[in-house]
Amino acid sequence: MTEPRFEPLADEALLRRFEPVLRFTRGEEFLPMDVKPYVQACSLWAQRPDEQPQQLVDAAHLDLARLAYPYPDEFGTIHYLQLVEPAIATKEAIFDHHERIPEAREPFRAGLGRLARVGYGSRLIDALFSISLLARGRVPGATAAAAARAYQRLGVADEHLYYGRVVREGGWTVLQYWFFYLFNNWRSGFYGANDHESDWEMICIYLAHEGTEDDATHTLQPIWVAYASHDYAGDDLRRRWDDPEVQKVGAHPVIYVGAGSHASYFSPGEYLTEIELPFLAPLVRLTDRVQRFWHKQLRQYGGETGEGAQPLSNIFRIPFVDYARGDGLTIGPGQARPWRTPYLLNPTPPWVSQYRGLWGLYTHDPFAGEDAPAGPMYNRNGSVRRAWYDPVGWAGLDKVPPPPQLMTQLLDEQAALRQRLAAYEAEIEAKAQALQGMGLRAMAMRTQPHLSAQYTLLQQQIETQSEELNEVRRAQATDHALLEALAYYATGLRVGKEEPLRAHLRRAHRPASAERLRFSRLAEVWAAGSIGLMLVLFVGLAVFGQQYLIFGLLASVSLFTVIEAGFRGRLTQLITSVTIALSIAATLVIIYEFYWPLVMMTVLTAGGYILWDNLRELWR
Amino acid sequence: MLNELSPDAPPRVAYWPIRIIGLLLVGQAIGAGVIVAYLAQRIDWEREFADVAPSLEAIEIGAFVLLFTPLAIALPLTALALVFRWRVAWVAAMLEQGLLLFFCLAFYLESATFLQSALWLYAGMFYSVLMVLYLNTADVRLAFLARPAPADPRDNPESRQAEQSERRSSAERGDDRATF
Repeated sequence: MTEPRFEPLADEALLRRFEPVLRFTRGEEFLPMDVKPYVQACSLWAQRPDEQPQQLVDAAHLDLARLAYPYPDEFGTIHYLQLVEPAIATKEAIFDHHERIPEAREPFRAGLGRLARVGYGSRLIDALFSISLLARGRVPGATAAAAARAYQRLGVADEHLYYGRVVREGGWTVLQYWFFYLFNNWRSGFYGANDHESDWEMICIYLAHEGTEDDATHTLQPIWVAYASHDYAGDDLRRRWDDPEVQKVGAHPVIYVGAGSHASYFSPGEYLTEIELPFLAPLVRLTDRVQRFWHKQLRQYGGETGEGAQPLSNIFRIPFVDYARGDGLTIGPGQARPWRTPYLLNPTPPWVSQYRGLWGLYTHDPFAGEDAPAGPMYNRNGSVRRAWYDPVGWAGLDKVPPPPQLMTQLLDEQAALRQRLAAYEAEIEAKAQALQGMGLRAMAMRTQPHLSAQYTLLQQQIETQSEELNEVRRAQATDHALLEALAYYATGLRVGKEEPLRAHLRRAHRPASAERLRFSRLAEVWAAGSIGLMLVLFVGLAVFGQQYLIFGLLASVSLFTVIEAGFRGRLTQLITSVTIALSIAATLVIIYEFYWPLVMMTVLTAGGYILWDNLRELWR
Repeated sequence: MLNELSPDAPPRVAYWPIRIIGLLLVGQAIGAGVIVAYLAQRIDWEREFADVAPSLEAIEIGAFVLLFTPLAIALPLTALALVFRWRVAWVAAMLEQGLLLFFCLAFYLESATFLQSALWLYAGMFYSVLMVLYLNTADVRLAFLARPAPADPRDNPESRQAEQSERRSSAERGDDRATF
């Protein structure tokens, strides 16, 4: 990454020219704000291994300058801010509805619950995840309400600020927009995965020069835009500026912000986000392998390719819905709530670069979802975020040359290839000549018994030389093909042929379609109650009918499965799965009963095939 | 000459697997019918009904006949439905194989008579397993269930593996999620 040139005025003008429009979901309580009042309302703490947390600076004395002080400490220590003191959270949580920002007073309606959108396995894993919240560290229940109150008290609910940063890397000019939120109330406010104090979100706009340097139209133009969003990485994060999915108000891209989670989306809608638990990763890998064997080796049907198609391993991921409906308030240029003058992160201020701790409560959550995030520059473990040190690579753009460099790089690449081909040509000539010389020597030695040892050595050298020559020729052939491909691509570029809009995408963000959301109320009630009902039934059987426990369990699981499949319109899939399971059981029975005959038959078949094949060759 | 495939052209579906399945189902029905008839004539039903309680063998064979006769009738009907390429025929064929396997396994696990280890029981299971594998092959499934899937140009079919490796490498780097 090249060192950023500090051109505050030009950078700020660029940032303002493309600053985004944020559309929130109705019921959103926290909006992008200035970090200064937040830090002033927080205290700074240190959590050393096996010790009680220790307050380093109290709320009355902490500010951005103090946050940037070095706080040397022992290995394993975690520094964190604390806004809401857990002991007074409940008292603070008694929160007058009218203290909220006007748009947040309108209640949020979840609509179709997330559980109705996923299968039984996922719901069971989800139930275990919810139960695990009781055991693992989490943000106390009343904290969200207390944080909302603190947000109002700070008096910043009507002042919206983003932190801008301009990075020049690999020919790209990257505009980074960082948004700071006081609290992430996805779990407590919107049935999501987690709550945590503070939230940092970011989007990038990638600019490149258009036209040549002498051209009058030689200006920076937006080419790509990337939004940070949950479990997406690399290429999937970005869209081309002219992609219709990137909505714009003038030159300002529109972001649909996830309710409570503040994740960024290109289109309004409800997004099913699946969270993978690290300890279930081996199970996920195993099921993926079994599934691949089933489809590829046994050539079995690969399932539907439509929207509903999900890999089997998805049952080990916990589903959450991120509501990014965009029906709430809007912040941005030309909107009722405009941006304040942005705060530039060029040069990097000390509170960003010096403070490596968490920006809110540290909850000891082993999954880290309930711990507050670190600042814009760092990961929770104190390492530098890729989005900070390599914003181009973060969105998978490191392999894409900016448009003005495209043709030049293409020509350079062709020239380098031609040069390499010429070198191959010379190498092939030399090696071929040497090989022929060796061959000649070998032919001459063949009738001279006293040269037997040298002859053997020469044969080995001939083999090695021949192999080397073959390698070079193979490389030459490959490079020839590559050169042709480059020439074809260059012709396309010259006539103005563009790359397909979405060729880079492997898995695109897509909100749930209306078709997928068409479930009856009864199906929702079933989805919400079925797992609990099943557990109650299990206890009932264990207490009152132990002798029928196995039969009762089998019968109830079968009944629940059939009802579930009926609600989800997947009876065919159920019949197929059950029949396949029965086939596997029957195969095991056959193998168990006829192990030796089967082995004999296999050997006999192999023998018969070899015999037939050899005889056929003989008769030809 | 190379044929240039248009991306919008519907996939070609072969219908010969349907005919093969039809024949296999008819063969299976004949086999089931023969076994049912053979078992039914083994028992002297008049004597069994005259006794206070029928023998265990008679009960089991009676159950077998009751369970397998409807299947032996349904199998050729399914084969007929296949000829007309009714979508429900594939599901019916799969369901029948499931029931056959379930009944065979039930007799294998629960029978206290010769039925438990009858060779044709294993043969029946083996035939059904092959049928299930064949019914579930991509060719056959496409012939029945092919419908214009809402292809989304935004998704690349090789996504999953690449996505997982990206996630792994991201985790190895220790990067936090983009947002969580």
